[in-house]
Amino acid sequence: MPEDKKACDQTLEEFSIMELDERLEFVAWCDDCSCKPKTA
Amino acid sequence: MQSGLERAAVSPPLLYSYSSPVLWVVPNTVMSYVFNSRVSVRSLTCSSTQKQVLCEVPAQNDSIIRYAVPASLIDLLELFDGTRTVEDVTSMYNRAHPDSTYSVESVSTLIQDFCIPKGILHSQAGPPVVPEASRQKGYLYFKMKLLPHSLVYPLARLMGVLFWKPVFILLGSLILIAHVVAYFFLIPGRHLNINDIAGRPLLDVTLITILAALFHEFGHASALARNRCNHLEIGLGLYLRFPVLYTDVSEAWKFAPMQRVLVDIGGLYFQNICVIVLTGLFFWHPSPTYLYCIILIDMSMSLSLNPFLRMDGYWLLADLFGIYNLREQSIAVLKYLPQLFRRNRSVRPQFLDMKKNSFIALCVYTVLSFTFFTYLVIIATYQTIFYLLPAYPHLWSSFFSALRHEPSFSNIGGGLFHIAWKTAVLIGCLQFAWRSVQKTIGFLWRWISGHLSRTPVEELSIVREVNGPAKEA
Repeated sequence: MPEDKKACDQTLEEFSIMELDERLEFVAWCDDCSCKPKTA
Repeated sequence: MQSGLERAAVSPPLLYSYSSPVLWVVPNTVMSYVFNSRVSVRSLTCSSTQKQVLCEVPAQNDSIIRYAVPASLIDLLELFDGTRTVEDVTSMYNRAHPDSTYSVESVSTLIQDFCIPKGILHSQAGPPVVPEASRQKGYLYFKMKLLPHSLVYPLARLMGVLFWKPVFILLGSLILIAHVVAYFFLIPGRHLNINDIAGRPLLDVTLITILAALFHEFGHASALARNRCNHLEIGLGLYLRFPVLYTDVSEAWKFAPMQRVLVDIGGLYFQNICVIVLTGLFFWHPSPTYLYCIILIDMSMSLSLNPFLRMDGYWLLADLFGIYNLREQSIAVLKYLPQLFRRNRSVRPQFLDMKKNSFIALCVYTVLSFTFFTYLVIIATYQTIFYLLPAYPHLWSSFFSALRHEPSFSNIGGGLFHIAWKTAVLIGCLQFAWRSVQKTIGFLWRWISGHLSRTPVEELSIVREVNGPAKEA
């Protein structure tokens, strides 16, 4: 981890600042059922 | 790339003496700063016992970086008006808030390490830094924009009518009826087996479920677009081993909790509307394809509700309990556990300031998600090694065989899609395995190098930290 990022992260932790997650709402159109072995 | 002015603003302030080659370093405590007027600050409703605000900072490529910041800290930073120094502001704030713990040194460090590089404050000498777009590690292995804001936003506004209360109640009732009809009257007795779908029906089912997934995304987009927003895009990505469609609804952070919940469930609501349409289509043309689609759409929705994957269930749980960055905070809980046995603990983590019910929810979530991911890694490894990898060459050979003997559109289309899907899944699994190996090696390396680089004096001080000072004989 670069030193400047490490210092920045420590400072954020110390001051209770948190970068919020990118909100990507997503959907898988199908569970990968074809991964399972085929039934006879 | 940063401009010279930006670099100057980021670097510790220096005063150059033209009469002498010696540099006089001026401590930044006597520098005056300005709060960036382009930074937007609004209230953030969350589980913290401390009042929090949402701080939106404009970044490069028209992006925005969002931070949850204690309101008290923003009150302090907003005191920088271009004339006040760090010392002025800190003493002014501490006079007004006698219980404040901010010192000139700590505020000064905060400004140098965070506020200036991230463009929240800037010196009088130049404009604020425009930081690089968020360097947060994304959770999609692959991300490609499909529909831009200019297309999604007007369509989403139009579909917003589906959230109108009478329409919502009517469609909600129809969703319930469609499911009862499908699962109690249409599906039983038809001996449906998902493994039997092949050729043209496979292509139809795939297309219909993809369209339903796209409609799901419009559900999130419509819930967001009911309020004005500037960035709404739909794209394609790869999450763990699932090919996914995504909607960027990051602007929902500025909403009230219940509005965020509506954005979270909007997708499932729209996808359920597809079940009504498919049930209706079955009565018009009774093909098992529609029933397969209903089953697969419901499977997809139940997968979305899994709160341990970053899908709808995750955001729903996070918003209902007001816990932002739920995954990050649950990892923080795990990392904090060893510190419970140490005397010398590091900085107090944020989750300790949560309201009681949210804190309990976070702890339960942490235990369950740890168990879930351990199970997932075992299953994924097993399936990849014993099923996916051995069957992969056969997939290509059967595709080429079909190409030679029955080169129909459905065979080629279905075969190509199947190969693309399995390849994407395989890449996802291999990337996951590669990242895990990298992380394990990195962790071991840090641990070993940390131990090797300690001098005997440091070792002694660590032992003293853990055991307390040695008693005098």
